[in-house]
Amino acid sequence: MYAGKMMVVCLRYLKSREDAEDLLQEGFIKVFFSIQQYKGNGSFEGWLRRMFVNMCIDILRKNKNVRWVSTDNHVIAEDDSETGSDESVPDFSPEEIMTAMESLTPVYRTVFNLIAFEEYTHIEVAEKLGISVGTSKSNYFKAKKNLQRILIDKSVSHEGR
Amino acid sequence: MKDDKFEKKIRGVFSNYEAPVPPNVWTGIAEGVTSTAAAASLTSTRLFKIIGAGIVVIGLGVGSAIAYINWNQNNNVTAETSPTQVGATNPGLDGDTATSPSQTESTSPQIEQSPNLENRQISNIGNAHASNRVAVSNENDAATSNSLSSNSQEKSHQNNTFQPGGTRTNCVGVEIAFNPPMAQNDVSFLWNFGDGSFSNEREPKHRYLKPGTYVVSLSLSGHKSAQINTMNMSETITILTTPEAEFEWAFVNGPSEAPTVRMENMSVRGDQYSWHFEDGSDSKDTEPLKTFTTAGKHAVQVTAVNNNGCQDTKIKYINVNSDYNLDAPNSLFIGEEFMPSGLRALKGNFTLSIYDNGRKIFETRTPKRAWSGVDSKGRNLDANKQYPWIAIVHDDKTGEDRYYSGSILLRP
Repeated sequence: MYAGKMMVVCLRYLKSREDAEDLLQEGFIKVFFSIQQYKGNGSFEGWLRRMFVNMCIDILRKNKNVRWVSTDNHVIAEDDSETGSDESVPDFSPEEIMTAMESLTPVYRTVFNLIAFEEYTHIEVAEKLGISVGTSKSNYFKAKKNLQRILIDKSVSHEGR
Repeated sequence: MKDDKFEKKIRGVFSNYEAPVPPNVWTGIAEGVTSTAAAASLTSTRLFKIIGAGIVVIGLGVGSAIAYINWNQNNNVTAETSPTQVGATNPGLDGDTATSPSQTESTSPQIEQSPNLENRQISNIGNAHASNRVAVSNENDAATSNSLSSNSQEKSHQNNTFQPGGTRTNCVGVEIAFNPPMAQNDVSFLWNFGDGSFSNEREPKHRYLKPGTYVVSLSLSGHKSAQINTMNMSETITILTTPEAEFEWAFVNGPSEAPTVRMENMSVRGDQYSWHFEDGSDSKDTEPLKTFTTAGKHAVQVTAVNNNGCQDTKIKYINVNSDYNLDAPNSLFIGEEFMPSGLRALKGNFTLSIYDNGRKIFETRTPKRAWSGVDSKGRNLDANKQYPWIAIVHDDKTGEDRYYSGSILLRP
């Protein structure tokens, strides 16, 4: 049910399984006592997911080692020539994608999660994380590129075996 | 982003994916909720136990603590917890008002006059008294059927206090009381009886109209230091099949015979039946016969019990408008014969005795030998005088001996 899906959310945002389980536990307790905040607008799963995403981000924010302000330049490459054709992206299991995401930095991972999975706009991400829209775009672009590279490398190495 | 196919693709990969949740997380949630509730200072240590128990039960389900939340969603019950808002935001879910039309059988009082009973009016009041038949076929789950008799002696599985995490067993149609396991004043209640009906009352009563297993949830919402706290508990109630008691009756006596009724048991789902009459007599017969010789409204009750121990009772009233005294005449002209019609019509044995000044002057055991106004030696008796008579009748139909008495005026 919801727990399994929220576990996925936690695993995608947080690097370690222990952290994800801890958050899942704390998160449900929190949800349990703030259920009255759910007003019945929109799906319950959506509400629950937002709760967990926010809790994940809070945890990342508290981690002082995570630098949210990217020092990268904000030039965004708009073309996707380097990422190759999407049709060529092989099929991956959720576990493979999550493993690949673990190797992203927390900032990249968070931005990628928010944009790719939560379908936030860069403006929303910028507001949420307190970064500029440019930083959000830059982080997302790099996160995606890294992720694609990791996944493709992995599939190549799989095929090579 | 031109290449959003990548995002779509990985979103698709995750769309229905659920990661395994280790069991210790559930335990942690249960403990966490308990201790958080303690931190929220929601009073009494007893309450903590309750929450703990409730959560454990919730946690056992596949859906976990979220089972409750999911239920909320499915039932479109928003978790508004201000005492005034609960229910108010959910029109139609208010248990107080979700009452179906009465299921009481509306058999109109019928006059069933026995065709052969001349001046005697005997009417079938039928179900003038609310029958306690349970409308099992009622599809309206919100119904609070009125069709249960107030005096039904329904069995027993009575335990009024809601037991979080516990189980109760009861019978279809029995009014079950739900008393919250705590007594706070500033708490609002939302009971979900699990059959589609709800209540905001503190101590509601509910009848289940179908057998099955129901999970009763209680959501308590309390205001403490500007914080709204909601907690949820659940109890499982198993509702067992209950018989439906029902019978029909009809007069079976012939002309001038005592009003006698045959009961026909039409109960269903019962394993044992018993009849009870207002004169204190009982019967285990399938189709008992009962004779009513006095005027009045006579109650007949059938009780159906099944092997679950669930029972249902049906009461009907049979109205007899005048006493029955063998249809005996009040006076006799000299030269006529005295033999009450009730004795002539009788299938059984009888003894009729006539008295004069305390002495028996005549006795007969057959309708063929009637009294003709003479004494034991055949002499004519004084006219314009009352002569008492006593008849003891053995009724073959009912197996009873009955005593009748009266007096007859001898006319010149």
